[in-house]
Parts: sequence; C-alpha cells; structure tokens
Amino acid sequence: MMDAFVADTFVIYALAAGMALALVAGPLGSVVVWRRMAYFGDTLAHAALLGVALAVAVEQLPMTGVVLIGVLIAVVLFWLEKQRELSTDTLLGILSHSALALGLIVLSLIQSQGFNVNLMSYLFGDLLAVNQFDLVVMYGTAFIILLAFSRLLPSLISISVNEELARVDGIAVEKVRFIFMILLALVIAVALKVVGILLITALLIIPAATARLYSKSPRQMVVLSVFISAAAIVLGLYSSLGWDLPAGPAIVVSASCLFFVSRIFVR
Amino acid sequence: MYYAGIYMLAAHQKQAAKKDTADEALLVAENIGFTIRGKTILSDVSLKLHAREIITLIGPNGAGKTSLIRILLGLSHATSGSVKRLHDLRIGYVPQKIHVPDVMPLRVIDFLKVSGNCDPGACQKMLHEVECEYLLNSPMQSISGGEMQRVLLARALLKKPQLLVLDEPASGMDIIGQQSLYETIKNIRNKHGCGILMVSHDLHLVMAATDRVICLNIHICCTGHPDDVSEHPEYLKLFGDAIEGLALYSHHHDHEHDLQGNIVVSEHCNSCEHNSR
Repeated sequence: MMDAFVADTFVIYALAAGMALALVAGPLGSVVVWRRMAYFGDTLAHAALLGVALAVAVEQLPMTGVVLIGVLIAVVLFWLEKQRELSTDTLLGILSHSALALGLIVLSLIQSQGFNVNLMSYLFGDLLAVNQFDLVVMYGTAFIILLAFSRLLPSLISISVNEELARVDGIAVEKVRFIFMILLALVIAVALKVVGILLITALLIIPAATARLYSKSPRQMVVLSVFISAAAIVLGLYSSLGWDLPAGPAIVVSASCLFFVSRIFVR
Repeated sequence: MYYAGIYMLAAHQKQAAKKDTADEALLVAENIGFTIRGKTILSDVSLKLHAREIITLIGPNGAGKTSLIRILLGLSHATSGSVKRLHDLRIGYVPQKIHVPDVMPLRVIDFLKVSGNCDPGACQKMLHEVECEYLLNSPMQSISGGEMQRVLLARALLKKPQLLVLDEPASGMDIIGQQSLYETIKNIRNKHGCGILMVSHDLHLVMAATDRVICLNIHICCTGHPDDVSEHPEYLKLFGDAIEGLALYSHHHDHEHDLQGNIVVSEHCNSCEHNSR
C-alpha cells in the first residue's frame, strides 16, 4: 500500500502543505488556548467563507479574501469590545454567524452568476489538490507568521499571564492582541486547503491542548505542539490514503486520538 | 496622552522656577478626580512621591485606594487632574494577587524570566532575596498566597524599579508573615533605593516601615509622618473605633517559621521584644 502512493507528487505536496500548517497552527494554537480564544478562531473560520466567496467573485486568490475578512473581523471586534455592555463571546457570536450567513448569501449569488465554486472543498479542505503554487504561497505565509510570532512571543506570554502586569511593564497590550488576531487570520488562510473552514479551529486547539499535558513551560508547549500537529497530519494523511477517507477530517480525528491517548496515559 | 504634552509645556515653565524639587519627584499627581457612572470615587487628590520615599496609603474599604493606584500606574485615566511621571520611570507593580490560568504551563522561573527578560541566574538570585529560592521550578498555580506575594515582589524588583507599587501586599497573611514581609519591604528600599508606594490595611505594622502616611477616604483626610497621623482627629475618626477594639496581643516567640512552615530558631527573637508597633 505504501509503495503505491509514496512516490506520487501529490502525496508529497499534500504532506508538505500539512507541514506548513503544523509549523504555524501549533504555536498560534498554544496562545489561542492560553487566552481562551477558541471562539475567536471559530469566528475567523466562519468569516473565511465570506472571504472566499468575495475573492472568487472578483477573481482573486481565496487566501487573500480570507486574510482581508479576518482583518475586518478583528477591527470590528476591537471596536465593539470598547463599548463594554456585551461580553466578548456574545460579540463573537454575532460576528461569527453574521459572517457565515453573509458568506452563504454571497456564495449563492455568485453561483447564480455562473461561477463554479466547490463549496465542499472549502468547507473540508482539499489537501490532495495542493499544487506547487499553493505550496509557495503557504510557506511564504508561514514564514511571515513565524517571524512575527517569535518576536511577539514574550509579549504574548506576558499578556496571557496577566494583562495589567503586562501593561505596567510597558507592553502595548492592544497592539499585541491586534497583531496576534491578524496572524491568526493568516493561519486560517494557510489552513484553508489543508483541513477546510469547518475544521480549522480543531487544528489550532487540539494539538496545543495535547502539548499542554506534556509541558512545564510556555515555550515547551509551543514547540511540542508543532510536533504533535505534524504527527496528526502524517497520521491523518496516511489513513486518508490507506482507507480512502477525506483528508481534512482524518487529520482532525488523528489529532483527537493523540489527545485522548495522552489524556489517558499522562499522569 | 495628549494632555501629557500640553501639561509638560505648562510644567516646563513651572520647572524653571523650582527645578530642584521637580527633579527628584518620581511621580506627581495633581487634583485627581475620578467618577464612574456619576459616582465620585476620588476627588481632588494630590500627592508627590520622591525617590527613596515610602508612602503608605490607608483608608477604609471603598475609599478609592485601588482606583488611585491604578490611575497612578496609568491603568485607568483620571476624570480630572493630572499625573506626571518621571520620564521613562521604571515601575515595579505588585498587585494583590494574580490568577494564572491552569491552561498555561508556567513555572515560577518562567514567570520571572518573561516579565523581566532576565537570565535565569538573576531570577534565582532575586528569588533568594525574597526567601523563595525553593520555588524556582514550582508551577505558578501551586504556590500559596504568601509565596505568590513574594514571587510578585521578586518579579517587580527584577525590573530594577525606581518606583515600587504594592497593593495590599500582606493581605491574607498571618501576623508573622506580615511582619516579615514588611521587614523585607523596608530592606528593599535600603538595598535597591527605590521609592515605594503601598496600600495597606495593617495600620500598626505598616506605620513603622513608612516615611509618610496618606489617609484616604475619597479625598485625602490627612497626611504626614506616621506618628502625627495616628493622632490626627481625621484618622481617629476613620479608624478610632477599630483601634480601640483591637487589643493587640504582644508576646514572645522562641522560634519562627519560615515560609514552608519549618521551625527556625532566630537570634532576632531571643534578643528583642515582639511589640506590634
């Protein structure tokens, strides 16, 4: 079974794309877990559909749409949070579902205009259709994310521990939070082809949560989560090819298996 | 922040007149007013803190102590009045307590490293100074309230602060722990040469380790040297009953406990009386 597909370029491309995602999803996912931003990740992911639909409508790269809509969501969320009457999860609920509904409307509009959009491939990823151009874009984006993230990490740890202490230390908390949201939007764009919109948050949260069980320090968690994501992606891809399963869901289920096995056996 | 610029222009002219006093003040607050939803929290509070000075802020619950501290730190903005900090003032802040989320793997050493950008050696030395070296590799979530205070203190000191701000540093400690903490704080001023501003409820303990007491109840009721304040009618009006009702139990101990509860025989206890001052 192995020999049959190992040499195929599409498998190598798929694996390479998965690794690009593992490099960024683990570290950013760790911060998402520390700062309880899972719902924000979900919101970005839902909004990504709107981004894809708009990008297709103006014949641009779907990734560009995803990033721009992500930035827009971050800006609107910042503005709404200033009003203080409503909590962040309520605001995210409003944004998330408005964006999703809008996305579906735009999608149906452009489909009626004769654009051919494969909705399933955006919802659940299309890992085996990754081409060379995708890889270049993914690794380029991943490089930018990692560069920014490594510079931001001390501040991110600091504000995750306690925002007020960080503020007194002279960290521009709002700026750090905002840049991190932009980075998350970029991760979602990288993840689009690998696991799809509906399952992106899983790859942020599950490997980081698994890494938490083995980690004693924040940096350890960040590094470990990369390896755990990578393992989940390899396992998922292998089972997808072996048993003819959809790749994105197989990757997420692999990540979950790693989590539950760890949960049972650690401590 | 725009106000700071305007204020500095005005201050510049003032400074020409009395440059010497302005130079040594770490922090000057003038006529601070603070209202939340129509409720007055602070009104017309002015204070000046000099280098190497220990100021203690006392006052009943709801007096606005924490609000004042937050305004001085720049965490909230005063409704009226101005706060002027020395340019690039390094502030070490010790909050009442912090809650580190369980989901963050964080040892004491990581906590110290990340906030100070310090090497592990310096962190270890500072922990030694606050008598908590044994905590180095403990998770932040597992340490006790008293230990947390000392770790927060170590963290603040690692920044080599010019001003140390402590918000009820001894809350929730027993009397022995409080005494030893205030002893540590007094030593810090001597060793690190920083100004200290602290909020406290522990009137008697604090008095001895303080240069100036500010008695706050929305406005400043009275201020001055501890001995003067403790006889001031405004102070007695606020705390008089409490002081009378508080029969202090002064007694000897022939041993002390360290932070882990181990008994240590100390020369200090053999030689002097333990009056709660």
